[in-house]
Amino acid sequence: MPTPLIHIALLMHIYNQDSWEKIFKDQLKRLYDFSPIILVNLCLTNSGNDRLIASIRKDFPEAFIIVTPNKGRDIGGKLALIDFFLKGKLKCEFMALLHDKQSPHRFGGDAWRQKLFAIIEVEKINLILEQFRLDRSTGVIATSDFIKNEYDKKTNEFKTTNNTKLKELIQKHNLRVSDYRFVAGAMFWIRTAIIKEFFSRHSPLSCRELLEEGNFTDQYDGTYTHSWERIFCWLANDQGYRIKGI
Amino acid sequence: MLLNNWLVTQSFENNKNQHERVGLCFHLDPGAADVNHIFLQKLPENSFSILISADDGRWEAVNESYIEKIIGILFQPCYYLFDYQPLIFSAGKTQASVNFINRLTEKCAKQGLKTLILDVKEDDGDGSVSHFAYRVASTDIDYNLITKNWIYLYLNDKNPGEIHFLVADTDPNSSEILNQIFVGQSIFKKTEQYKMADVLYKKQKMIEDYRHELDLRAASEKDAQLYLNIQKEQTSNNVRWYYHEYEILPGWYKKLGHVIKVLMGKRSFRSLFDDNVKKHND
Repeated sequence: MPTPLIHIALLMHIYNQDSWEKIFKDQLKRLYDFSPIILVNLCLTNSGNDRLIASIRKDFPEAFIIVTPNKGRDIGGKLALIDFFLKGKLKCEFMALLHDKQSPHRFGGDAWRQKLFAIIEVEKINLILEQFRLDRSTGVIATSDFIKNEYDKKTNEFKTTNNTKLKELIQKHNLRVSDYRFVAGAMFWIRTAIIKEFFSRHSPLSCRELLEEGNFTDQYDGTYTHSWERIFCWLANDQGYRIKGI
Repeated sequence: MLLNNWLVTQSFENNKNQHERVGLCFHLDPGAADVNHIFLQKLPENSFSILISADDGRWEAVNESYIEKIIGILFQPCYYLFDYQPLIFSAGKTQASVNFINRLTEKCAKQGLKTLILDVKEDDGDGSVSHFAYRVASTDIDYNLITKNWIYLYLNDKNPGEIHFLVADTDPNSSEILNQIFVGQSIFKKTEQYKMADVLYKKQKMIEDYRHELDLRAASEKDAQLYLNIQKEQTSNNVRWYYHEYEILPGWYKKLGHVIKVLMGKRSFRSLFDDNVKKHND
C-alpha cells in the first residue's frame, strides 16, 4: 500500500538577493517529489525584487511570495509568512522554517547555515517525517548540533543577553515551559498544529510588532528578535510536545 | 508610471478587469476585509491597491484584526508601491475615516511599513494643486491642466509623485470610460507637455532610486563595521583566553605536552626538532 503523501510546507525568509540562486533553488528542486507548499518572504527594500520574484516563479510557479520590511530579521519574515499561511487558509501537517542565514559577525557563519540546512536534504526529510509519524509527542525536529539550552535552574536565569526579554515574553504569552531547549539558528521542522494553536490566539503580526528593525545582533544587548528564536521552540513544549535532534 | 489608471471594485468574484493597463483598486468594506490572499498572489506586481472611502460610516467599529488583514494585503507583491511605500487611496474625510487611517498608519509603522495615503478628488483638475488622484466618472479629463500643475509642483521642489485616475466598476459606463481614457492619454502622450512631465518624472524616479541604493549601502557599511568590531572583540577574547590557558605555562611543561602529542599520534616526531616539517594532519 503506497505511503500517503504527507503535506509539508517550507517557509523561507530571503534577505540577500543572491540567496535564491546560491542557496535555495537547487536544494528545493530536489524536493519536487514531496510537493511542498513553498512560501517565501522577501525584503521590501531590495530593489531587485521584481526580478527575484520572476526567478522564483519560473522554477516554482505555485510558490507564495510576500514582501515585508526588514523588521525582526528572519524571525519577522517567518512570522509574516505564518500570518500569510493562516490568512490564506493553507494546509499542511509539518512546516520547516528556513532562512538565508549568513551571520557575518561570526567566524564559520556559512558552515553553521549549511549544517542547519541539512534538515531539508531528501534523506533527512524522510527520516524527519518518519520520526514525527512514529512519535506523536515530537513537536520540533532540528539538527542536533544546534539544540541548545541557556537556562540555569539554580539562578532561574537564561545565560544570554536576552534574559529579561525572554522572561517578559514567557509571561506575556503565558507559556508553561519545562524544557528550555531551542534551536540556535531558528531552522527546524515543526508540527503545523503547534503553530496554528498558538498563533490563532496571538496573531503573528502582533508578535512581530515588538521586533527590532534593521540589522542588529544580541552580542551586547538582548533583543525581542533573538528572544523569539528561543520562544518558537518553546511553543511546542508549552503544548506538551518535545524537541528532537537528528 | 506618471499616469496610472485604476478600476475600483468591491468584489473580486465579479471583477471583469481585462485591461492590462489598468490596476485593480479594492474598495474596502469596513464590515469585512475578505480579501482572497491566494487570488492576490496571481496578480502582476504593482497592480493592486485599496481605497478607503469615508462614505461608509462604519470605520469606528473596525477592530485590530481587520487592520491586520489590510497589512497582510500590503505585504503582497502585487501591492502598488511608490518609493517603496504602499499606496492607499482615501476618498472623502469624516472623523471616523480619519481616525481609522491614523490607526492603520500607526499599525503599519509598527510593522516597519510607511504608507502613502493619497486623497482622491472627484473628477479632473480644477486647478487645485497637490491632489493627483482623481475619481473619474466621465471622459472629460483636462490632462493639460493636471500635468501643468504637476510640473509647477515639481519645479517648486514639491516632489509631486504620480497621477492616478480611478474608475468605479459600479459605473455602468466604466468600460467605455476606460477605453476613452486610453484614447485620450494616447493622444496626450504625444504632446510636448506630457513628454516634459514624463522626462522630469523619470529623472525624479532615478534620483529616488539612487538615493535608496545609497541608503542601503550606508546601512550595509554600518553593519559591516559592527560585524568587524564584533569579530575583533571575539579574536581579542580568544587570544586572551589562549594566553591565560596556555601561554603562561612554563616552557618545560609545553615541551612535555608536545612529546605527549607525538605519543598520541597527534603530532609528527620530526616536528619536535625541525620547524619546517608539517606538525599535524588537518
